[in-house]
Amino acid sequence: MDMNEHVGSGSEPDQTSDDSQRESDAQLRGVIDEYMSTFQPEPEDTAGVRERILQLVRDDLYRGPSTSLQTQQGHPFSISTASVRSIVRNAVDAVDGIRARSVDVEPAGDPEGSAAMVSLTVAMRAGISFAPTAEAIRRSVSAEVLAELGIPAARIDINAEDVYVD
Amino acid sequence: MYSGNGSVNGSNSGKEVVESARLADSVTSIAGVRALAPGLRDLVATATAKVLRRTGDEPVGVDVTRGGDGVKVRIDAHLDHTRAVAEVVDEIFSVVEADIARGAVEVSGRLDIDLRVVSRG
Amino acid sequence: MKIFSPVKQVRPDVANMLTAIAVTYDVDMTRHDDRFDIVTLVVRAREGDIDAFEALVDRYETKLLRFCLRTLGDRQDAEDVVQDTLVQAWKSMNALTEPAAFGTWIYRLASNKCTDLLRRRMARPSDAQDPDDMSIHADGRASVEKSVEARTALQHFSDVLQTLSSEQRVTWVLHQMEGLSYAEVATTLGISEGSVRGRIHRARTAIMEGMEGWT
Repeated sequence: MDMNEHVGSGSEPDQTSDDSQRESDAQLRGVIDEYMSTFQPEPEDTAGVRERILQLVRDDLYRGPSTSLQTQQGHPFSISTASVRSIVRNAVDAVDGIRARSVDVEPAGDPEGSAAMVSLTVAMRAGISFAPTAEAIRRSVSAEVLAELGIPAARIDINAEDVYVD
Repeated sequence: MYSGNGSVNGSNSGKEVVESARLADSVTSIAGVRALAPGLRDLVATATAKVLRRTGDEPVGVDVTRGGDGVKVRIDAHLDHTRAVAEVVDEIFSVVEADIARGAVEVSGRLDIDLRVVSRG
Repeated sequence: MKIFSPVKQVRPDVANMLTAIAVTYDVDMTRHDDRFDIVTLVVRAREGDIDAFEALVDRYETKLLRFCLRTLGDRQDAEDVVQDTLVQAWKSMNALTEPAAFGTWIYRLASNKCTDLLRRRMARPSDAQDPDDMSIHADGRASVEKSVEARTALQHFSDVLQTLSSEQRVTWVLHQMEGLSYAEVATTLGISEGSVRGRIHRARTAIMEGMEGWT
């Protein structure tokens, strides 16, 4: 059992033993390097693991939360919240210099669910002007939500929370 | 065709399994519907055999159940990108209602269509 | 009737970051997600963006697999740990309070699983393997050998690693093979830097003693 687990810095070796440790590290370096090169993941290994992970994640997504909406003809339905967010995200990403981050879509309107209330945060490329870009985001999201979901966006809140450099 | 009545092991009787299968056929042929939730293909193919083993927690694409006051049709659908979601939803409703009008599903009392879009891709 | 909310202004502190921030990312993929910064990917993934999660997997999978291979010495075990780690990450990403710390967090999840697995291995008396009886094959799988063969320094080194405690082994691999500093190892494992130094000191001592005459 590791005795030093709960102790602070009291058991640190001093500077001279750091030096001797570096010496012994150098002696072992050859063996360590050889050991490290023995364990290289093959592309087939990573591909296999990747596929299994994504399948499990997809299954988990299918069981995820839903958003309740209603068509203009009055037919109620629920849709995986991930699917709705994806529609909005694509619309936001399509705007030059903008990356969608957090997306929230809530049922709105009367009857509830006949419209969508969208709030989102974005990262913007350094140097772009926010006000006209926000206009472009709203136009894009509004059009995409109507075209892909078939439901109008009643409200679109946008918050720029970060800047990135290309 | 299985003609027994009453539940065996789960929530549906043989009649409801057959009705589910009929609706499933109609719904999957709608443009924009990529698939129904996994498990339904097996159910449709061996509906008769499966009735006796069926548990309530198998995922089904279309699930017809009868409660106290009417009939509930549950549909879990995977859509594609070709049409707006609301458009496909409206068509699913009209197809199911048309099937019911034709007698594919016997409805007395309320009809409740519970539709969930599981994915879109 | 559409009503749009008023546009919110960029926070002054964000505006000041215009000149200060440089975000790095990999550039060799074609999907735009793969050029996104870590924070964007994590925020999106935890809201169900499977493409963003896939980009994170692409970025970390090979490194994690290599780390687990070096720590566990077994390909199947390493794959299982990486799979469990990344699936757990997907399911519990809301537990990550700082998206920028995703890399450290994922290493911690993997380290904990490796430690648990090593402990379970060592706790099974029927599977207890005498270092003198073991050798590693070219594909990194440890196995019991009945006959004593001429051993290489590499084989002996692998045997010596088996004798370390699970905590020592994980800590030592993170520092010596993954190249993390003491501070980075401490952050990854959620322990003090002093504990890291202590474990590495003891691991080194054991390895030096075990390798005496072999290098």
